[in-house]
Amino acid sequence: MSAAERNYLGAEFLTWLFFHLEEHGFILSLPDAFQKSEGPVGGEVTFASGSKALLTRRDTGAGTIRISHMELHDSTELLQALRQRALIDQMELQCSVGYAVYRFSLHAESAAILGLKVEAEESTEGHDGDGPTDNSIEFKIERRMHAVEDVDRIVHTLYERFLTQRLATEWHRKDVLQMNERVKNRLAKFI
Amino acid sequence: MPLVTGSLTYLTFDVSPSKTIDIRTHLTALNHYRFKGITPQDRQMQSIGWAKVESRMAEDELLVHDVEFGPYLVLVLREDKVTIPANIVTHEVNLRLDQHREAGEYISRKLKKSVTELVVAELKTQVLPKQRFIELVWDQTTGLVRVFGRGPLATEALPTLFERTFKSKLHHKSFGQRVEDYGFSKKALAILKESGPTTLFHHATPKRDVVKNEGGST
Repeated sequence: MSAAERNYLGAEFLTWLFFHLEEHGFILSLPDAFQKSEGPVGGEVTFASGSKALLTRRDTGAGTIRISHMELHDSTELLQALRQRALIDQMELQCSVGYAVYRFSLHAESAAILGLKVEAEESTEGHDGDGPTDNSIEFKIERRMHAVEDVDRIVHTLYERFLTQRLATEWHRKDVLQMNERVKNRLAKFI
Repeated sequence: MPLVTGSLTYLTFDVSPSKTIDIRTHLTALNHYRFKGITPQDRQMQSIGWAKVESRMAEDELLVHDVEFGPYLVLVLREDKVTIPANIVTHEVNLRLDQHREAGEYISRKLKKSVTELVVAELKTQVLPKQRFIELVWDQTTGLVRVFGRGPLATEALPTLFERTFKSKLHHKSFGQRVEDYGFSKKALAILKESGPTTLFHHATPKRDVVKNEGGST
């Protein structure tokens, strides 16, 4: 099976992530994502639901469903779309690592990080007494790349976690059924 | 300059066979493929090449300090493209050909071609090229390349120029591609082949039926 043939995993990963974050109260311990000296205590990363998502129905392959809601996890539209056999193709997320807050969207097909915004940049300049005196392009690039690497490591670790679950025999017997049940229960609550 | 200001949108690529390089040994190749602007005399309507991250408009020689920033090699792909609306070219060519006709000249294909070339060259001086930039950061510690942009310029033009310059290929790391990075056994990966894509809801009920059933139960 070629890598291109496995590209469906991107949408499965985002859909799994949607449920995984909710299941763990949006706080995940990802010690593997950080070097011991650099990461937050216990590798703890706090996530928050974004406000935009794109879904595509997998059976028909046609029609993109755009969801825009204050918080995606409260969107009945998204749950209805999942129930109609759609998977998440793009999802907005926010995560906090120590003092840094990253906002970005994940794209399932290309694994692209879209519109990554780093909120700690401005705040560290404003609050730090010493302040970064180095305004060179090298300093700016290193600082921005640090954010890129943080986000990439988080996504990498989450994807490994997803694959471990996806490759287990329990995936179809347990995990998929759990996601299925959760959608049904949540929709029942809303109506 | 998205790499330094504003939000970041990027794709990740793997490099093979050379994960990392010494840029000093590639400066000649890098400068061979550096950006050269389009002049009205040029026949080409498009130019692509490497530029400096700090002064993207400059077309002078690339040196080590222009591309090496700590552990990162930073390059900018610059594309200049001149587009002249076809209607304007046709109109102007017809006007010139009419003058030739009035002078009693035979309008051969050769004449039409040379007039068209002349008109395009003249119009080129009146048009500013459309410019696009895509930044590339090659991490020399991990060997990963991050391309700050999307679309054909990022996924086709840039990898082609990269391969010509560094004699190494860029492989886009999609989620499907990344599966092999984690050291899962072949047996485990065979599960993917067997199972194929997951269907989350096997017996999805059509939307209107959901409403009907739920209405009935209350």
